[in-house]
Parts: sequence; C-alpha cells; structure tokens
Amino acid sequence: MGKYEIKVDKATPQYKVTISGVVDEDIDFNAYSLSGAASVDLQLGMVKSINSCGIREWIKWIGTAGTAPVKYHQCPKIIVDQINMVQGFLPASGKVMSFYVPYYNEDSGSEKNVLFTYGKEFTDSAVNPPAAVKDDEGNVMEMDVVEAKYFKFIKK
Amino acid sequence: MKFFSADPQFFSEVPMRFSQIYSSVSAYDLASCPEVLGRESVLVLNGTEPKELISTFTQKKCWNIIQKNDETFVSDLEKAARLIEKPQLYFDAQAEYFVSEPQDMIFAEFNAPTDKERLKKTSEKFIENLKNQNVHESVNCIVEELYMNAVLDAPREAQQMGRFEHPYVHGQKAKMTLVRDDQALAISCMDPYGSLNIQKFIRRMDEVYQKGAGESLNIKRPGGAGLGCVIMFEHCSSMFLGVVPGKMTVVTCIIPLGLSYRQRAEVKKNLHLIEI
Repeated sequence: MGKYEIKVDKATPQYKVTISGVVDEDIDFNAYSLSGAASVDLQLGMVKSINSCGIREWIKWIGTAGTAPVKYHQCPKIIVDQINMVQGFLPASGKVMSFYVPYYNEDSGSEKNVLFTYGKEFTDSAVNPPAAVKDDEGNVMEMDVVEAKYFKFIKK
Repeated sequence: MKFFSADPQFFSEVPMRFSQIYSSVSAYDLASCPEVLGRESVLVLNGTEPKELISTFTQKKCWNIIQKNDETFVSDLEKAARLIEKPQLYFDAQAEYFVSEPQDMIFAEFNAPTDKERLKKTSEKFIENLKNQNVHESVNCIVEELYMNAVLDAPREAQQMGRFEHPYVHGQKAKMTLVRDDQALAISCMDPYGSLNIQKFIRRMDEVYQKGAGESLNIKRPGGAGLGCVIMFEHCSSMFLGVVPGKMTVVTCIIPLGLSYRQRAEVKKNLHLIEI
C-alpha cells in the first residue's frame, strides 16, 4: 500500500467503501465517485491521519454521494474531530454508526481506544458509556475527552 | 512593556519581579486597555476559549495574549517579555528558545513535496518514545500543516506580493525543528520566504472560528484549504508567528507533555506575533 488506499465495492447499489492510510493533498478521489449509490457504508478504522487539504478533498468527494444515506463506521478520533469541527465533513445525509473514544488511567498512564457503537454506547441523542473500562493491568480507566465537545455531533 | 490584566493578583506579584529585570514595565487594569494594543503590550487573560481569544486578538490588534495557566504562567510571561525586548532571539533560536534543558532534538530540511515522507519519518522517529498518544496525534497534525505552509503557501504568498525570486529554486530550504524537555515539546518551521502576512493569518483564523470551518473552507480558489491555521492552534498550547518580511518566516507551536487529552484541552492558549 502507498500512502493511502481506497476500495469501493459497487457490486450492489449499497456501495461499500474502505479508506486506509493518510488523507492529504496527494489523495485522489476522482476515480472513486459515489454517484449512483443508493447508500454508502464507509469503513474508516484504518485512516491514519488527515490534514486540511485532505479535509477539503474529502468534502468534495463525499458530495458525489448526493442525497444517498452515508454511514461512517469505526471513526478514529482524528475523524471524529473533523466531524465536530468542519460542517459538511459528515454530510447532511450522513450518520456515524461507530467511533472510538480514548480512555486513560492517570496513575499508570495507560491509554486505550474504546469503540462506541450506535444503539449500544450511543443513540441519536444520548451517550451511554460502558460501565467500566479497564486497562491490561485491571486499572480502571476514565473517558479522556471533553464530553461536550467530543460528543457534539451526537447531540446535534 | 505594558501588561493588561483583569486579575488583581497579577499586579501584586508579577510586575514587581519583571520591573527588576526589564527597564520599563507597567501593569494596567484591563478596563483601561486601549482600543489597539501595540507590539510591546501583553494582554493577560484567564479561561478564554480559542474563538474568543482570536476575536479579541483581531479587535484589539494585539501582538501578545497570555493566559493564566497555573503551571506555566510566569515562565510564559518571562519568555514573552524577553522576545518583546529582543525579538531577534526568536528567529535565531526558534524551537530551542522555548525549551530550557533540551532532552532531545531533531531537525529536517526540505523544499519540495518529495521531501515530505522523509520529514514525516523524522518527526515520527522523534516522538516514538513519547508515551501519550495525544502528543503523537498533535505533532503529526502540526507537522503536516507547517510543511504545507512552508512548501505550498509561502511561495504562493510571495508571488502574490509580486516577488518572483524563489529561494527554493535556488536551493534554499525550509527547516523543521522539534525539541523537548520533560515539560513541553516545541515544533518550529522556518521558511526562507518571509511572506507570511501575520495580520491576514489572524483574520483568517477569526473567520474560521466565527463562520465555522465548513463555511469558510476554501473549496474553489487555488491554494490551501485555509484551515491549517486553526488546526495548528487547536493542537498546541502556545503559537508564535514570526516574520522578517522578505527574508524568513518562523512559526512555532508548543505542546505540553505528560497530560491526557482532557487535561490538555483544559490548558488555555497563548498567541504571539513577532515581526522585525
């Protein structure tokens, strides 16, 4: 794989897309138009980084889906940050189905990303975090985000 | 040198210490703050969010805003005061100015898109031993935007100013420096164009914060997306924008170490402009 990889499965009108790697000024979405999709499922767990030019290219590309429903899956924190910061990064027809939340234990310094899934850890208007998150040593970890900011896209 | 603050405790402690070091220091209540603050003024705030800070910066035409973060406040004031008195220090030392006892340092020179992978590998090597993932993420984001400013924006801004001599074509290079101690990591990027219009940069930040990043995104015009300024600011605790017009631009971002994502989010930001 080079800097990035885009896979689009158009076998059915429910397009399945996976993006991996670095989304920056070199990304070329031209060959991956979403025009004609009845819906788009976007797997984002392997996105490593995104810069300001990558954000712009993403918004232009996701617009090719038109009004088709778009679902974002396994969003890493860097993607959640863009969803919250940049209007249009998640299109109007878009919905986040799962995303990662960083957890932290201050005493041990351990870090972990926990996947929140729609219908389980969050709904259209509320966040229901897991009862307890522990690191590999059994230490209880705390959610390491400013909730009002990180979950802003949910409360909209 | 003038300090403006609404905090009564500020007047009883810090100015006395400063007036022992600097030849001319005075402190004023924020209420007596003039409409426009000059280069030798420092506006001291407490608990101001980035959007409001940039708005204040734009309205007051500030050159320095420092916020009262308990851990670093006095050090921030001292560093800023030295730079007001001797701005050349910033351009000479760049990232090293901000780290008192460096534990690690690395730099990379570049002037073309083909250099980007090497630059990123250099910064990734530098941070690989740092524990906190939030620092890795912020360093990567800042390096990306500083690289684009230096390689893409600086030459374009110079051309728009009517300057057609291109230092990169003549072999000159930009330089990214990363240096850290156990408290903080500083990233500086120097480019040899000196084409940064710092007031335009601040106005752009204000536009992004006021209108929203999506509304102000540059989709159609040539050039960058116009979000890098805010992305960098969001990922650091202090940002320094320095320019020697026609010669050199140096942008520095400071990231505090040893904090979680949430703890870092609670650190209020500082912003400084330097031009000689």
